[in-house]
Amino acid sequence: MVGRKVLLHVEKKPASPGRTILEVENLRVVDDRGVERLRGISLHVSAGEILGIAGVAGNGQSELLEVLGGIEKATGTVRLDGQEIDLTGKHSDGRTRRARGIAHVPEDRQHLGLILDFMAWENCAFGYHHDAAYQKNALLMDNGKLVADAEGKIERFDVRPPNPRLPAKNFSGGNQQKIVLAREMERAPKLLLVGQPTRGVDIGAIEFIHKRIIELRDAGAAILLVSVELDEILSLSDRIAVMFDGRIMGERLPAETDARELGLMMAGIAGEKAA
Amino acid sequence: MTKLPVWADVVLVPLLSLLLALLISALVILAIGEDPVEAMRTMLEGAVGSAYGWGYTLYYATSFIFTGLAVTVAFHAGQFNIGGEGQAQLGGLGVAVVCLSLPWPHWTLALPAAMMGAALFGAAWAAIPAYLQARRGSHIVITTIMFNYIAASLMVYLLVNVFRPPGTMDPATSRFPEGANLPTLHDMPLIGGLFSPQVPANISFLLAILACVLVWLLLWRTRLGYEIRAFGKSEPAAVYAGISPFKIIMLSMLISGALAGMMAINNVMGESERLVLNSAEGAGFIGIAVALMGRNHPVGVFLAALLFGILYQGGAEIGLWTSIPIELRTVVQALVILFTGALDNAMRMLVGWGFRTFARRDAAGSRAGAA
Repeated sequence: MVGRKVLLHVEKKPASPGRTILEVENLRVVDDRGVERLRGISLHVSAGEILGIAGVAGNGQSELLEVLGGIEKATGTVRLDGQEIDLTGKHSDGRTRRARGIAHVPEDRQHLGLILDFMAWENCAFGYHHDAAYQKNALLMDNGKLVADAEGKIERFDVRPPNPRLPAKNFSGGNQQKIVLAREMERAPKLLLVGQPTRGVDIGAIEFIHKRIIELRDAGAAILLVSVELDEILSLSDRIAVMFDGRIMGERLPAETDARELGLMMAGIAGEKAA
Repeated sequence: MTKLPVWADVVLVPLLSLLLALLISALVILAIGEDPVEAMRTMLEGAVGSAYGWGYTLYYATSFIFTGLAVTVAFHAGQFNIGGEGQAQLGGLGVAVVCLSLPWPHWTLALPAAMMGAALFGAAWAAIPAYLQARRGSHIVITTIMFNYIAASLMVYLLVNVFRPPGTMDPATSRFPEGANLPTLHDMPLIGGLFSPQVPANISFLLAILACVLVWLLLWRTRLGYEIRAFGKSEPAAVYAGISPFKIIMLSMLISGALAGMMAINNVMGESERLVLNSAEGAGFIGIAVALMGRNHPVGVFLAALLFGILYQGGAEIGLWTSIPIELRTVVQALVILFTGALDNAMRMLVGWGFRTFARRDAAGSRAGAA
């Protein structure tokens, strides 16, 4: 179908984790209806490693990403590179998170990650539109620079058709996802939050996206990966944490576990915590 | 549905809608036993056929540009500001307060101050519904409509009890000082010869054009405009990007209210030179139609405002020179709004269908030609 052999198994070197980038302690989220969606999550991610979060959709993974990305408020402690992040204050939003070096590829690119009616070039700066490089002067944005920047991203991430003046809604799902990934990954973030990186993406693009995530890891970023695709979690992650009902059921190393054990943990059955 | 070429989308569809509206207006005129051709001629001649006519047309258009831009800015933030009428009346109050507070020596000093007053009062009147929407979730359509009524009552109270000069029975302020009178277009160098001295079209028309440019810059060239448009398209995505909904709702509505308020520079300071009851005369509502027809783009708003200026002035002429009642202009306006606003998509589909049919016939024709 794609004219060549598809590498669903990702080739990667073993991780060489550096200092701890993300530390999460006792994170709790109560939603509008009073339901506790996160019940005291604690985890950590180091530079140069991928922590995969496995779980059946709706067990708190979305909330975890949204809290870390600045969309939702929470209680608990989150430290980035040793410095605490404000989780409840007036300035707890996506803009300050980006300024701290947290990039966020949201689970739902059409709902959150893109403005579908905006052109590709407008979307390529979405969330980073305050960046000094995009401004002409104190008042006006430099649309020419934005377009040029988008052209570069489109070329490097092989977005098709390579037209920055097309509205985001006219791209296929895989190419929309590449626009989001290009925007979030090219900033050399300290921490990359990725939700469902390859959902609804064609098979050729999946391989491309996986490669880029590994490359970013090898460049020293800490990556928190949420996916409902167990194969994706198993092949990309350096460590795997399983979430069930707003809690972490346990952590496993991909080499020492299999889909069967993870599946049982995802169903809340094997509750014993790994060391 | 096939995508229409840009020229068809921007020019052909509104034009056809307009023609249909006029056609049905003609049927209405026929139905009341009058001559539609005569009526249309009177209307066009009255609106653009003389220096007097287009002077009035531009005067009305100026007000409609301001209120149309007001609706446009709010619309891009996803807020439907129906309160332009009340905001324009409060803008009038701002103008009156500024103009009456000092013995202005010259209009060049009075104008910037009056603009600030108009913008400030209009924005303040929009700020309350905006805050209620942003913090309490009270729907802005409902609150802005209700604020129109509150504004009307407030103006009655203020004009009768506070601003009415002693000894008069007219609920209006006293006349503004000479130095606060704006130059009409007739007084302007270069273009003055095009206008007759009696028309109220004044320097605010140039301000309205400037406002169109500034609104365009705001929406498509600034970070705030980028955030306004992003928020208007998708609130969840805007929050993801770190855009504060509270900030965008407040700022867009403040700008919207300020623009609606600035309309008062035209009608209160430029024309009546005192504040009277119901000073906005429905221009706030026409602004909604203007923005709708102008497709929420400053260029479109400018053109639509001119059209509504023509309808408004031409309609008045019909009432003056023919036995057709002046209310007919409301009918014509309503039909234009119906066809350009409400039935816009139907017309688009119809034109799209026409394009496809022609494309197919062309293809069939060229195949036949090749054979």
